[in-house]
Amino acid sequence: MSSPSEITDLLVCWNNGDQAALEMLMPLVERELHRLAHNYMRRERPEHTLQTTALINETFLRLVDQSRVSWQNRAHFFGIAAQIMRRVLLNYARDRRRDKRGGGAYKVSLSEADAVSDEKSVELLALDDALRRLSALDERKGRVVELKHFGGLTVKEIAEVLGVSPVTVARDWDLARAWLAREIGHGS
Amino acid sequence: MEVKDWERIETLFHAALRLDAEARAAYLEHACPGDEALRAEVESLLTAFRGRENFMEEPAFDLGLKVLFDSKAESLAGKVIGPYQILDRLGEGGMGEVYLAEDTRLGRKVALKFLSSKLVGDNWARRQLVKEAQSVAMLEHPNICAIHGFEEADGHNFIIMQYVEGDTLAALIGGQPLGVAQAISYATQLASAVAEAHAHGIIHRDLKPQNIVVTPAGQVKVLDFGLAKTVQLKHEAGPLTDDTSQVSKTGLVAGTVAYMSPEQLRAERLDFRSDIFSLGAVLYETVSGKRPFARNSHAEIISAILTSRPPPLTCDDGDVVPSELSRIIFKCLEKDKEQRYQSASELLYELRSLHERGELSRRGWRRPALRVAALLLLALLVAALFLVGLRPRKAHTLAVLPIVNVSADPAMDPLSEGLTEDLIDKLSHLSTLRVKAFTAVSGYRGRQQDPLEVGASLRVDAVLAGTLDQQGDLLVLQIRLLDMSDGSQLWGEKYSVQPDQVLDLQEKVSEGVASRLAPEAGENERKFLASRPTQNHEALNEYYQGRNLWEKRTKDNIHEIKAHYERAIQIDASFAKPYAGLADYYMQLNTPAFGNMPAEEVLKKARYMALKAVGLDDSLPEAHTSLGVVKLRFEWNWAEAEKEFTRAIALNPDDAWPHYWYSQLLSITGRPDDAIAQSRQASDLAPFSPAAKLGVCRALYFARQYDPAANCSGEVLADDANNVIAQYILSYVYLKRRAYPDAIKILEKLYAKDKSLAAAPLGFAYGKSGEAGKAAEVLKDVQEMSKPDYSLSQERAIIYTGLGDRDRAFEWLERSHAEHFTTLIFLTTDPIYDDLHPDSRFADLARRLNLTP
Repeated sequence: MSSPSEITDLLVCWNNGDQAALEMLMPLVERELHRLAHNYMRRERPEHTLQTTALINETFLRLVDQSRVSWQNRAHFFGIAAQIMRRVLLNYARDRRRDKRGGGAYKVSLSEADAVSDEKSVELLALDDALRRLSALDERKGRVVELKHFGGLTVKEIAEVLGVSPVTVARDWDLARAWLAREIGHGS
Repeated sequence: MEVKDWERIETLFHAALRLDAEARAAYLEHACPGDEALRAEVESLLTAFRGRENFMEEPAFDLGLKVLFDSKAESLAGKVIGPYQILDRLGEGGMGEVYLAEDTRLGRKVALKFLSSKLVGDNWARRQLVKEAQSVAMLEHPNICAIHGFEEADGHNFIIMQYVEGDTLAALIGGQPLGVAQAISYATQLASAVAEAHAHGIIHRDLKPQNIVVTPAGQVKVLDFGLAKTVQLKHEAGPLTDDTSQVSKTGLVAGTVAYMSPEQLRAERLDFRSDIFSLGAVLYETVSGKRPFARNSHAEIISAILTSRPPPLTCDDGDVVPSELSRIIFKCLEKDKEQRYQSASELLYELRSLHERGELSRRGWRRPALRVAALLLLALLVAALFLVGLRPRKAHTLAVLPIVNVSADPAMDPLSEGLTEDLIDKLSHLSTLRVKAFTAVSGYRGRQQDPLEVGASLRVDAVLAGTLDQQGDLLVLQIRLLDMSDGSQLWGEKYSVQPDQVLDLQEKVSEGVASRLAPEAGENERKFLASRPTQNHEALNEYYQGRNLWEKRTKDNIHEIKAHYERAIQIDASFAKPYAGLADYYMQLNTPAFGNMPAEEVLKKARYMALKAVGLDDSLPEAHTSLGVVKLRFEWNWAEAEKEFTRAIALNPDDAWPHYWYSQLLSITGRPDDAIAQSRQASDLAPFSPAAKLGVCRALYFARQYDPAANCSGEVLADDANNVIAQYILSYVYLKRRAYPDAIKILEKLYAKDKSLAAAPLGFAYGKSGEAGKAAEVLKDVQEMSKPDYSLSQERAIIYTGLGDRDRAFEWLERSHAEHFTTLIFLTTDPIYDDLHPDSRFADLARRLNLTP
């Protein structure tokens, strides 16, 4: 595993505008999330609700040298986690659709995960498409959706990440949802 | 869109959002005069938002975690795991990823299904999967994707499956009907696969087009037999219950609900008939391209499956769906499982005959309906004439009623019964004829009943009824074959023969029936009709006498049975049936009701006899059943017992007893659902047998379904209030419900009748209700009943369990083990021992019994 200092370097570099650093950072964070997901799933009982923030925080604490980062770095880190989740789900949904279309003789479906993906994967693909268009129209609203929906962050936490007031986040969230609902055709 | 517009939209949207509907309209009217586009935009956003305030509120983060959790960090392609060279990723399912690999030892391609850590994360699930894989590995059938085994290598757990190239049926259908001829071909192959699995006691539970592969040559392969169960059970216990699993709260696996049976949706215990329903749904879709219960949401689908009838079958490419095919599919889709086909082989039979007819008039199906309606009518007319006039009527099911002994001599009973049984045996081998088992008709023995009435209540197409008389030296057999559709006689004959011509008689009658009901029977089948279990009528006669007594065995006459069988063997040493009979006889001697021969001795003798029977006639179902019981009760060798039972069932699926014993095996090897299903099959096949019904009650009790077990015993007692075994099982249910006074009430009465039977539960009940003195008295009685080599050790262990004296309980269990007490096989299954589970000695003992603690 990469050392905390290496990951911290990357995080700081990216904060300072280095896009390549983000590219290198993503897989590292993803691997850690993957590992943590395993621990969590095994540990948690069904009645427990997953504490998303706690999970990302744990990832952050494990990966990053705390003495060298500011709260902005932490906020950005949450952003990365949300982005990773969005991508993970998108890839997953794409795989599902591809498997559905052909070939996948062994794509046997025994768990609910598959039943979910039938509808959910279509929904996820449509959402991703709509979200791209929303971001093109209004980047901040796109970010709000990403952090809230894919990152599982609260309005307050998002306000912290984006450096705006919680009221603004709440307003962004409402309009973004109305817009996405209309685009996906959910509202009709 | 201009940024300026977007900002305006935003302002208007938030302002309007706070207003009620009326005020909104007025506000927008006022706020954007003349700008219809702007107003329409804001209104459409408001509309989209209305009533969907929770849209996306549920974070997808959890789902993402789950996906991360399920996914392997990296592809395994190119790696070597154990002897397997991983070639390519084939796909992914709920259980985990599937890879194409080469088995380097055998040089063949296989598919490896890697089980996600979620499934194999704990030992329980792993064990289940290993067990399931083992039982499925026994299936060998051209339409079942073979499972080669389960392995663990380099930290991976995987199932090794046959690699099948082809498309899933789901992909082939893709919303388009496949055509009637194609559908019938697939349907026949599917039913054949399912029938084979059912004969082995395996229920699929998740039949759907995604689980069915069709090879380029048109061969159907069903995947994942029996594997659904573990996943299902795992889900009940598993950590993943989120909003997306539609019915997970009820413990149901939320796979594709579209193909689930009503009972599956109600989360009831499943039997084979659930697969029949799913198969019907698959067939419906294959024919029509549409799902039978197509709806927009899961809730609606579930409700439709539970309550609505699917729309009539149509396929839109001009094909005509034959009404017969339609009828078959709708029969599969009956909500009430009692109304469906009761077995996959029955369904298979109907599909096959449909298939054959299709071969004759294949073009008839392909012809557009409009083109030659008149021709079609003519064809129908000709076909009708052909069927009625030229060809013998086709009966699918036959009941051979017990041949009635009309002579005054009761000594003729064994012969009339033996004849009946052997006729059933012979005719059962005709593949196109389904003959009711002896156990299904034996209840009509000794009764002069209207054969047509009996036939109607047995729901068969034809009945064979006969009488046997003695006139001077001659035996006179009169038989009538009746068509149930109109009561007409299809065939009748009167035979007068010498007593040593009984064997010829069997042959003639079975030939006569076959030529009327199964004229197309092949050479091999005919050969079997002519085959003789023994050439000697005296040997046969002795065997019949023994058989007849066996049915009404008591402690007093049981040794006569042995004498008859032994004489049969003396006369004809190559006669297999009496050997199987002797195996059963010896095993009976190790039961409280019939004797106290030590287990070791019984084992030796019974095993010898059963092996001898199998050796003489490997196709004799009862020989395999007997051998299976030896393996189950005396050798404690579950795998081999299972092999024998499934073999017996495959040889004659209609015989109740292998199902009965197999159910016990399934109970003790931790497959309670299957055990219940098998016991129900036994009971269905032997509707007159209280023992078979009690097998169901016992399986329910072992599965800890106490209410159903109590109801089941109650049903038996309603018929026969004095049935001691029913009372016995009921008392155990009371014990588990801690209703000790109720249990004691039953058991004290039972104890007065049969001490050795009631001692254990009664002593246990006394112990539990604090009456140690009374328990001690029972123990004293037990001591008195004991003999040096028959110490009633297990009884004592149970009483000490009730008294809370674990040390003594284990002492006696050890003794019981040393004596090889047969009912000790229920150690881990019988809830009566629950109190002992936490003790390390329990696990230790269980392991020595080859049981999973």
